[in-house]
Amino acid sequence: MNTIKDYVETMFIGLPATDDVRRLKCNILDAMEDKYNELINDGKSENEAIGAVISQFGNIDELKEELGIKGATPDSKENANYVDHYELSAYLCFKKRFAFMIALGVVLCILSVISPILTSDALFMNIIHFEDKQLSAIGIFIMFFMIAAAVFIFIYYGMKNSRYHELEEAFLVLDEKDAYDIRCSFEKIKSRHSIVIAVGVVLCILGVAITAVLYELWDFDFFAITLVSFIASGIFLFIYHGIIYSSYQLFVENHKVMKQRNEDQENDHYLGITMPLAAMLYLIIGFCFHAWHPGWLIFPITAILTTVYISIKNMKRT
Amino acid sequence: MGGGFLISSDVIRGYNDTIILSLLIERDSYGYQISKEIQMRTQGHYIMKETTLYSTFNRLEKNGFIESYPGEETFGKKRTYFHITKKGKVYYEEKCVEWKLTKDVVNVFTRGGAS
Repeated sequence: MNTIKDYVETMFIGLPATDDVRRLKCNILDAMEDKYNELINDGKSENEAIGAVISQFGNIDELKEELGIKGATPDSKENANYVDHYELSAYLCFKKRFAFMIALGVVLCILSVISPILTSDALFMNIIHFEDKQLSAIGIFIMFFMIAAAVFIFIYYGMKNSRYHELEEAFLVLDEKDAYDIRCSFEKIKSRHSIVIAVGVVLCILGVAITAVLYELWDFDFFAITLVSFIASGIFLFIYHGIIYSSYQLFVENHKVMKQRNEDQENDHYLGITMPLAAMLYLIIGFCFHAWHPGWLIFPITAILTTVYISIKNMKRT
Repeated sequence: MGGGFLISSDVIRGYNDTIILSLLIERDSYGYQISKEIQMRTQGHYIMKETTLYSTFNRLEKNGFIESYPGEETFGKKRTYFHITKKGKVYYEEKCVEWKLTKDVVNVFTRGGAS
């Protein structure tokens, strides 16, 4: 029954929430539930009943036209996609690995910032007895090597992930047992989600605190290392858990995911512009002025400024 | 139920109003009952989709051909019932005349129609 409700919710996403629309949605849902109950009483399996009821829903654009709502949503799809047990477990298994690899890639990118700072530091140079120039060349090489590894991961796993685009955009119907199982696992992940976010935030704050203490006590020049690695581990948690969370959410709260996706896409655009710009500036500052050390600060600053900008923009909209 | 041939919604489009009005002339009814009735009486040749059904209700109500009212609660659900108005009955009669004419015209051009 939840599947039908979810389906109707998904179909109605593009419609404004006026009283008329809400009433219409209730009536349609009632009719579909009646139809479903009757099919079950006739001895049909849950899957058959859901399939039949959903196939008789019709086309949402017809309702929109009737209500005088313009603009058909491009992603409103008439057909529901049945996902069997094998497909489902393959998808979730892949998403888990995908989450790990993407998080790893991001961490590599963040950590790559450290190596040129390390190698341009005088203290460090004394430890391993290297020439000034050689060492900074090695530092820069390591940085690019890490970035290249991350880019490889992004491209490789991004392409693998694109196999599932079609699946992620349709409305999904599961077996009764699968639906129940995934709902249970999702509840577990959901409760863990808040803990993970809290731990991630604490890691970031701890990073700042420890760095500040180190700096005060010993005039420790490597403070970029502690700060960046703490933040990197926090971000790893966010990304890893976030991707797994949304892969389960896709099946449990389909209409919510669809709604969110539109907003997220918009926000990703901003970070997609500002972060590469920051990287460019970092390289310029590093190569031209050898200021890798305070230069890396441009990353957290850009990230924070962009996020603040997005939040302000979202606040205005709601 | 469900004889091999299903009528396409494009063909029958102009007559959804007539079909629903004819059922409401018999008695007041609600969405699911009407859709079931249509499927049964046509031996499964025509299944009206939910969106078609409810956009037709919406149009008929806007034109004053039917009125809706909340029915009594059954199984914890308050159904919206529809009732045909005088204006609706007049419209239905007009549509019946129109269909007769349409049928005769199309029959001229379709083989086997002139039986």
